[in-house]
Amino acid sequence: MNAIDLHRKLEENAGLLIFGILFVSAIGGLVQILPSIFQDTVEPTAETRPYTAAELLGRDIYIREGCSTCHSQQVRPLLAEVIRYEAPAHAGESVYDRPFLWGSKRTGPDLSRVGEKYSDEWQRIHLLDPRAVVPQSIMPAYPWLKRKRANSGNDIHLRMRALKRLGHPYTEEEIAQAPEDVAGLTELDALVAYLQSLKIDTSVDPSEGDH
Amino acid sequence: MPFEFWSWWIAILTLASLAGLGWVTYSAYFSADRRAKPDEEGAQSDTVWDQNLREGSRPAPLWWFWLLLGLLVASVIYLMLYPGLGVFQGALNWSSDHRLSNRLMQYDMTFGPKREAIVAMDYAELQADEDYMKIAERLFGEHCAACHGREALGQANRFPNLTDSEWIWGGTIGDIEKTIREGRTASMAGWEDTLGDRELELMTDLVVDLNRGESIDDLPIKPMYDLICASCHAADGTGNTALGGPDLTNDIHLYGGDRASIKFTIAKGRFGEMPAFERLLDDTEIKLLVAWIVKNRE
Repeated sequence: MNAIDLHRKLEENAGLLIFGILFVSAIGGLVQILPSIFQDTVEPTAETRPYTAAELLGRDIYIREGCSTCHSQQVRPLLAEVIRYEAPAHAGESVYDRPFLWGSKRTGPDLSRVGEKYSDEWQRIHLLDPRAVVPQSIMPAYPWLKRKRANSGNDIHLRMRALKRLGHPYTEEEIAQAPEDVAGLTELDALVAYLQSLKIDTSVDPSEGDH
Repeated sequence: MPFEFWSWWIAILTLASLAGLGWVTYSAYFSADRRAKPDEEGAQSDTVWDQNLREGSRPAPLWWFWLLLGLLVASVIYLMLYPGLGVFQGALNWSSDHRLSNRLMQYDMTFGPKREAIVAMDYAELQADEDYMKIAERLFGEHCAACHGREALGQANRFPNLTDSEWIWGGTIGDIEKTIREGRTASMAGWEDTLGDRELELMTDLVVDLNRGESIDDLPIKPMYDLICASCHAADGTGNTALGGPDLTNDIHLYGGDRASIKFTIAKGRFGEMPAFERLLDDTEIKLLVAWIVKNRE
């Protein structure tokens, strides 16, 4: 048996070839993905909690507007980034992010620690017209955010229920209360609530843990 | 399944893949078939193109083999040195955490003494040093300019000018440092329900008069001013830095100084927030910022 014979055999037998292709292309996944599916090694950090109804709506708007095409949410364990953004990202901080929004394009600043750095008012002005406060900014303006209600689909409780099914610890009361909690909020309010929730977990030692 | 199982799973699959690739590479180059001459017998049921071209008759260049072999060897060496095979940490015991904490330690060793020296320095001395002021200006650009503007002139009719004479929460070095560290929350209630339309107009006139530096003592609305405004803005309108009540006797306005803006402020109230930066900035950075802000306003 040598590789040429094997090659010939595979080439002449379509079923075998299909199986072979599937097997070879599965190896990467078997090594990288399968073990992490069967292990719950990532625990939420002490201050990581599921998003509130308003934050969750804001997060979905963040996804809809494609914020992560320019903003990452992952501080890499590199000296310059740690000095600029405090602690590097910790896996436990992302357990309630489905999908996670780490991103990889860093046109704008990383946002994983942006919460409470600016006032709500600043965030509002900046989202509606970034140049009003940062003249050299190249970020697009999002003026439509203030025109629409955040929960205009009346589905926040359904979104929360779906996440509950995936293991987010929402209580039934929280889910029932959610539509009322977000009743008056515009999309702008929800997005600001989400941005203000992106905070560092001060309980984690920045020099330890799995990044 | 237990942790160890998956660790072995990863290690064995990885090594088996490497071995498999090695075998394919070696075998494809050095099996009998490859060396068969086009005119020889044996495994010759192949399709023949252009009279003598068949599978394996023109071998890939040998340097490809050495390249692939080299890459495989490099992979094995890498997996021996760095973490990759399950829980095996690699001979170098490398981790991104170690690297980061080493870098942070080096950083502290290089800059720590200098940073401490800055904290111990006089403000006057700091302000006289051009290099330190340049660093401070950059810090201001990074942390403060988003609200207060690059030149600290304030902007958006929301964020105060840091170069003028009015300091809502006090302009001493101590006040400024406290503002940066702990942040400030300013809240003015809206008075339209209390005042009603007519008194709202009168109160607006009073504030406009105050801005012009005119006396308000004889105005009929003055008792109402004393009742609802004086506790924060003082009886003579000069403000109260302890409560963040702005001075109304000058022409410096945070939320706009035209009559309509003043009326709106009285009617609806205002809410201002400066976030606390204690967590984000260390003592050295705060000291530099205070020094720069004080120097810049002069």
